[in-house]
Amino acid sequence: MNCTDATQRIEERPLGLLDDAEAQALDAHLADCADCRAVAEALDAIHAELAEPQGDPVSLSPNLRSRVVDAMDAEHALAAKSKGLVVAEAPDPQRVAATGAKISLACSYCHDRTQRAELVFCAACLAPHHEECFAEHGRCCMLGCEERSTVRPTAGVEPRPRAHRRRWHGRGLIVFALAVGLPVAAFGVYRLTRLLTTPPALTVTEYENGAPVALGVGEAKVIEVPYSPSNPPEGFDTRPIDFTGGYQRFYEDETVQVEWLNYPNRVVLLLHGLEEGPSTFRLLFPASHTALVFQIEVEGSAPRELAHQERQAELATLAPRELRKHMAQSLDRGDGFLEGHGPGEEHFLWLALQEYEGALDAGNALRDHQAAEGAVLEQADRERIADANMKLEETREAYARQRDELERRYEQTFTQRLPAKRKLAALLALMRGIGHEDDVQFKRLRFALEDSQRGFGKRWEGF
Amino acid sequence: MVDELELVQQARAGDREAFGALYDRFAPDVTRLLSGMRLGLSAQDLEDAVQDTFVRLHRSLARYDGSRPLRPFVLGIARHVAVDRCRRQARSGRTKQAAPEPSLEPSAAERAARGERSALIQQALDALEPELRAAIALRHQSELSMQALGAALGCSQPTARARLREASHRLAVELRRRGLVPGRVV
Repeated sequence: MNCTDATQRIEERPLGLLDDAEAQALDAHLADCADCRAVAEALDAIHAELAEPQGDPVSLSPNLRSRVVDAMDAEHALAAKSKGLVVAEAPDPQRVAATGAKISLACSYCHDRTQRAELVFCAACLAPHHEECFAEHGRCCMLGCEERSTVRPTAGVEPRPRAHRRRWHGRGLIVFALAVGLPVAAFGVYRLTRLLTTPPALTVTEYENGAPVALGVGEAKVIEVPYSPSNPPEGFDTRPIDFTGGYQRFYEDETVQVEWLNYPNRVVLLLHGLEEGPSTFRLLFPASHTALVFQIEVEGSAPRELAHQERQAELATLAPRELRKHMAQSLDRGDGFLEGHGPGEEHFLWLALQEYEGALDAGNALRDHQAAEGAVLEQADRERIADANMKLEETREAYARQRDELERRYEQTFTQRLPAKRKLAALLALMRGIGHEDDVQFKRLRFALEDSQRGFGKRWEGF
Repeated sequence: MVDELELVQQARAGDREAFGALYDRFAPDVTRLLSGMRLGLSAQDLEDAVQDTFVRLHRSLARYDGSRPLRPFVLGIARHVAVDRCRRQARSGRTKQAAPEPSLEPSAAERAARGERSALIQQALDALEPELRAAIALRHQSELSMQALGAALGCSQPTARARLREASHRLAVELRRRGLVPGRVV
């Protein structure tokens, strides 16, 4: 141990801060070093003097005990009184001024109560101090405040209220004007440059090199046109599509009707042939100044119309007796129709009824013809006609019941909040059942169903 | 002997007997610490300080949790009172010399030398910061363990040790400066 270490330990020893090993090492050093021994002796003597009791507790005056107990009792009474959260009323300023009362503050350093005018205040946190206390401590004595200067209230000078707020008010206006004015100015410059610059010429592209899209009357066709998200077609709308109004009819003439469906990367066109003839429409891409032109050729008549016309023609060529036979066959077959279930049966029922009524008309025409010629109907024919009339009534009633049931089921299916996929599937089954497979509505539905199966189902929620 | 916690609870309830018992138990320790600070208080001032300590103790009883010994808690309050007095005296510059009465009958020269020496020690103590002075006084006058000393100083045990170390060094420096201890003032 050298003398420097020893000096430190000599200082600490009288306060009992050394452990045994340190004390032994110090003793060993003191045995050898006369200088350190002298220091140790002097310090030990002073500390021994300081450790002597100063005065005698017995010398406290005998009535101090009762004074202390009284003071503690008074303190307790005061605390008990204020426990009920009694809020003191604010003193009347005039009364305070009249009585000459002054508010005293306590110094943050020595906690001595003093008049406000005699104190100085920390320049940072305004903690009150005696000037001497602040000087002695060297800085503000509040925890965390390192301020080294003080302020003193100036008599007779009224503080300017809210001066800084007014200043900020003006600055806020400038900031607001800049925040509004700059975007408006930028937009104006942008519009001006747009007006002054001439747009490039439109580039026209023919769909499939101008080959016409063939389409039958009443037939529907789907065309998908891909595009880049940065180059959307005119009128592009990214909002979710709802079933009832989502298809935007953007083109219709006497020949064809075109509807479209937006997707983020492609447009789906639904072409619907109305009448025979050629047609043209174009899809405009404003971003790239290009247009895609579709040539459409609607041909022939709708297949269902043709079938109906053929049926009418066939019926017209039948002899009266063959018509009657046909009627009977229809009746025999018709029994089974009435027992069917599901929305698809309705259409067959409807067809059967049409056919039956047609046959009945034919039979009536035959009877009238024979009556006019004076011939008498055979008994069997009369019975058959009576049976047929009865059967017709039954059929009509059954048809009405079926129709009600159908409407009920339709309502049930489409007013319930079912997943879109299920609704679409039910609707498709319905339309397939009533033979509308060639209908544009059917194709639209089928497309929607396939679309939902491909993962776009969310779009149809709530439909 | 009544349990300390029980005494505290009775005092909280406003029992005068308990106040008296608290006074009887801790007044000697408090007086010894306050006088051990060597603030040069007159008898009246010392009694005021003792009374101040017990009034403050009554206010602080509500936050005494009972899990720690009561004596360091009381001495901590007495330390606060002593430090405040010390600061007040430093401000007003009223610090008086309080030469202890010599116990033996020394010669006149020795008495003069001794008075001179005591005055110098008092100056060295006055030059210390009140908190360091209180730490030394607590160590000398209270015989508390290091942990209890930490509680009385309102800090942890290692911090109390560090504060005592600083106090011992600062006192030694002041004593050297006044020639009471041989050595060079660093």
